[in-house]
Amino acid sequence: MMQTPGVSGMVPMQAAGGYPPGGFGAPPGGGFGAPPGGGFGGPPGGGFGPPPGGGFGPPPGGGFGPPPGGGFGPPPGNPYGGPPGGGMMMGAGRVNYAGSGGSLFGVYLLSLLLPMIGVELVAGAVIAGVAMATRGADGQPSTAGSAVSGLLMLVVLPAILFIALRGANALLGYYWANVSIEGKRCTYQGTPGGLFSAIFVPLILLYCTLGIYTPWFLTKFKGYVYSQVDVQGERLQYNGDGASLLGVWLLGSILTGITCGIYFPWAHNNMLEYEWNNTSISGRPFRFQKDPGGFFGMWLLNMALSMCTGGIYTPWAMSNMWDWEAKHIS
Amino acid sequence: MAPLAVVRQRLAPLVPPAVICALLALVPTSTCLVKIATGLPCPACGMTRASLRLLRGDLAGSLAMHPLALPSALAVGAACVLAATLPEHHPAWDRFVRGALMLYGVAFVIAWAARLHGWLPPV
Repeated sequence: MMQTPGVSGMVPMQAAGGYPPGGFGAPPGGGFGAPPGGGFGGPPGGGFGPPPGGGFGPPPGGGFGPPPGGGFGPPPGNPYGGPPGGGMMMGAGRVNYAGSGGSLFGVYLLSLLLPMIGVELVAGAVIAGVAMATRGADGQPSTAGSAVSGLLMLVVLPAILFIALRGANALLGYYWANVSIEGKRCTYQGTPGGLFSAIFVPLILLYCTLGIYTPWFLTKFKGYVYSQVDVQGERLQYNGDGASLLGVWLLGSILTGITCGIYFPWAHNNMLEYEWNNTSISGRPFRFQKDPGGFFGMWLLNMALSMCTGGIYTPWAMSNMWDWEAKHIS
Repeated sequence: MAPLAVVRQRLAPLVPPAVICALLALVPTSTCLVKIATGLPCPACGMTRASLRLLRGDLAGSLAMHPLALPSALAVGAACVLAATLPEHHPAWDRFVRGALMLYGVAFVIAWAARLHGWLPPV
């Protein structure tokens, strides 16, 4: 899974701000470990990296991932408005996230979880059938049977990759469909094929460099997502680069690892600040208001609930994170 | 008193975790990914059972299962009262939410560390 834009490379799923929904990171439900590319998992905007999961440390896509593109929050008077009564946190800003965990759960279920389970069930049944049909007198799989099973895996793995890309694209689409910037609705026009083209080589480099390439990967991913987002005729621009992000990401990753994940809220806020402060729309820059203290409790509760519910709560956790992020953008 | 829509908006985030945890309480085995994968409890392991014991009036049992079940119940009660009484856009609501989340974050980490060290009964 990827991390949504805004992923700090440590949490799989991060709210917008450049992290693909779900972000990159450990599988949903968090987990302990830093998500690849940072952020809770890689929700749209946050990048889709290793399955969302986030959790403590750098889970592969772990956690909630960064939200796609990042940025939420409607300006005052925005038709999408802020929640009545101000919801849980601050009032409306330039970016507004209007999604909910319930609807996100549906997208997550239909676009990612069910297809993945279906492919694995069918593949498992076929491979088991072939193994049983070709086993020898001693009950052990024959050479031919093992070869056929291996070939079947060559079909299954691309299928899983296709489903992951399609699911990531669907989450990106959901995220951006529920984001408004300065009162203008956003539309995500990306495709699974485009996503694959944009991240295939950077992903290979990411794994070859054992994660060090993460800042450049996030930059390329964000660049692709932003190029596919239309804000009623305007486009988002990302002015950051991997080299300048490297320091922020590396320091955050190291300190998060040393503190067994406790430093993550501060690292995540630093990453979001870097991303949003390097994002603009038609030359108008954004600013992110850090609040690691406020983020800490929400993140921990979201993660604990996601883990305790076997990952079921993950879409709600992702939505909470995206909403929190949107409310801190000015 | 705050308008009903405002109260609903303020308390809405509490509903999904309550419903999901209530439904998962019917599952006879652990549903915690950390517990299943590592055998170790996560920071929130035991909260549902502790809450059920609290509902049955077993305070000692609730505290033994998870020390934050009672404070959580009190915090939810306080949230309901504040959500209903604070006027719309009142800054005290945001401050309460932020402060409560920060406190809970710290408290969960402390309780979890205590459990992993064996200072609390296993779950």
